[in-house]
Amino acid sequence: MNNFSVRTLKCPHCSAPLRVARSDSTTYSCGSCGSVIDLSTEAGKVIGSVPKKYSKPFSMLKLGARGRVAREEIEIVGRLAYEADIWEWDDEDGEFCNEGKWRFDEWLCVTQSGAILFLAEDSEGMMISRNFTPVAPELPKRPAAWTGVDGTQRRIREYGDSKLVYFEGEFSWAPTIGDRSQYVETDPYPVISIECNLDDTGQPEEIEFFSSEPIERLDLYRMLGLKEAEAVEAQTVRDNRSWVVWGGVFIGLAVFLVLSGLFLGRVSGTRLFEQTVSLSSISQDGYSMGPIQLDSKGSIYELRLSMSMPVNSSAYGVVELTDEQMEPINAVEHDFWHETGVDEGERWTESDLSQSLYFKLQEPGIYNALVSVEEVGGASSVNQQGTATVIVYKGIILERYFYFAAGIAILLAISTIRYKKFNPVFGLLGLLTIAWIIYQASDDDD
Amino acid sequence: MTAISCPSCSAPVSVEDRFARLVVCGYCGQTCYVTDGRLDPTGKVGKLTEIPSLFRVGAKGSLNGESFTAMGRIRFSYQGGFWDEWLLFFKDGKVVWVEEDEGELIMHAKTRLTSALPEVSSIKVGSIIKVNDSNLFVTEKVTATLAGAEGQLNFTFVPGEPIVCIDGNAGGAIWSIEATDSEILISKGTVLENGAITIAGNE
Repeated sequence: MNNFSVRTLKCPHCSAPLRVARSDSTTYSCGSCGSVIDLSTEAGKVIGSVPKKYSKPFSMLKLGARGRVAREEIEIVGRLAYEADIWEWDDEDGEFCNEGKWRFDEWLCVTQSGAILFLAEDSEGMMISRNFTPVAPELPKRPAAWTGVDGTQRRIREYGDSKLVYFEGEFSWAPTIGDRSQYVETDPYPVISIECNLDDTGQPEEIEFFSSEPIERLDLYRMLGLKEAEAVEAQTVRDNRSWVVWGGVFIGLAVFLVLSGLFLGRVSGTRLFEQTVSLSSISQDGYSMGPIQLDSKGSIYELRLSMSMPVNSSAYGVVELTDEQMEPINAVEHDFWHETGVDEGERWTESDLSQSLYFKLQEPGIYNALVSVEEVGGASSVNQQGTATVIVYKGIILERYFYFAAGIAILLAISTIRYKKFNPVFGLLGLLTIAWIIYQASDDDD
Repeated sequence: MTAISCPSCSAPVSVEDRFARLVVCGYCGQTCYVTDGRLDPTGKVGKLTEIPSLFRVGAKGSLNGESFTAMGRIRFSYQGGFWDEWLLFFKDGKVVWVEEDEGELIMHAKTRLTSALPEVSSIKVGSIIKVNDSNLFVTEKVTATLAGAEGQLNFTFVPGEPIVCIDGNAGGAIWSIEATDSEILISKGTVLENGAITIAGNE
């Protein structure tokens, strides 16, 4: 039987052409004006209208589209739009959570042999659904688990109450705005769902079983020969791939920057100078070390003062880097301490014995380090046993800049994933900022 | 075959099968009981809107290789639409109903009830009822009326009389219960695959 016996009518209300593909259609809802027409009479009387509020579909599918889908020639002959109150299973909470109102469409398709199938669509994707007669039909008795109609243990992933809010095209029954149904969807694939249509009093009137599998919009457009829609969807798919790829790139970049910062912060720098002096040798005017040849303008240097002190002592230490005129150009000053004790039978030792300063050299030249140490207090005297060591490193890379850069990469990743869109302008600006920060990490003026 | 005049319009009405219990005059739509070779008028039914179908009254064809003649059609109407059922007479005297609904063809074979049914009014959609040895999952329950008929039928009915139609599944088969105040008919159905039916002249 060939049900593609197309006849064309005119809408009695707006005169729009109506394509009727099914021989047994009794109701037509005009997509142009929303008039509902009774096709069972020759005159085609207008018997109602549908509100246009939900007339916009999710995709670029349209009535009359024909093609080979799921090994059968089909034609889209109608669309039913629903608004549902849905509950989805939450694995973390172990219970169903109300997801609020959800819109979905069911595109009614007729095959060459006259059979019916549906293309169910929402903002997240599309499924192709067929009605089937189960061997062992039953309704779920428990909220989450269900021994399904095919003998396998299935899990209810979603259920809801839906209400018809719009319809267009031809139908072999008389849809009415407000028609209510309840449904249950189960995993795994193919999704088996149960739909229960309710009568005016809310009592079950009909129960149908459906088997559904996902289908890509792009594939469907291609199968139905919807060239324009195919081009738009292909671009959307490219955009989608783009945000996934770029989101991954930014996350990878952030991880790389953090690891690089950790690594380079520990291995970077060349030791230029190191000298240790006994604290007892340091006079009140300090102790001068040097000469220190610093010749790389723009490079980041580290001036480090490390102390060796007896336990339970503390001291205030300063090292000034002075030029040839003995003018200080930079200095490290810090309270150093070394303590030990017993707490609840456990011996503990804590200390703060090293302090650094990072700087960029303004003028190459010969420099000296002037060290002075003042004992602050404590049970032990630092002057008799302590030492002070001055170390100068060249070519330091500052790890904290890598962390700043990683933070920017994470922000780029979050915005890309959150909005599911890669913005080339922001992306480029972000990458340039990261590059500038990394450059600054080895060219700092601290 | 017996030719009798329609009691309403005198047009010739042929009664082609000895099991025919009711005929519908093709000219005026008068339904008549077939009693002792006479036609007793019972009432009129609406003439069916012509809707393209695989079948037509009088068409000969084969179902799974067995030859039949399409003797009559009835159309049930309910709030959600309508469906047609075609009566096929086979050469060996077998009678089969084929339901035509939503582009699907379901072959129904009348089944003898061997156990008591629950009260029809108490049967709920979604419940499981015992029908003979099968547990029938009730999938649909509607109240329909006979919207029209044509040809010859092997049962009698009163046009406009409400019929409670209950569909269900058991063991992969489709069961149908049609109940009026005076009768309950039970049939077991099978969905016909493409190509299971061929009609002479349609190939």
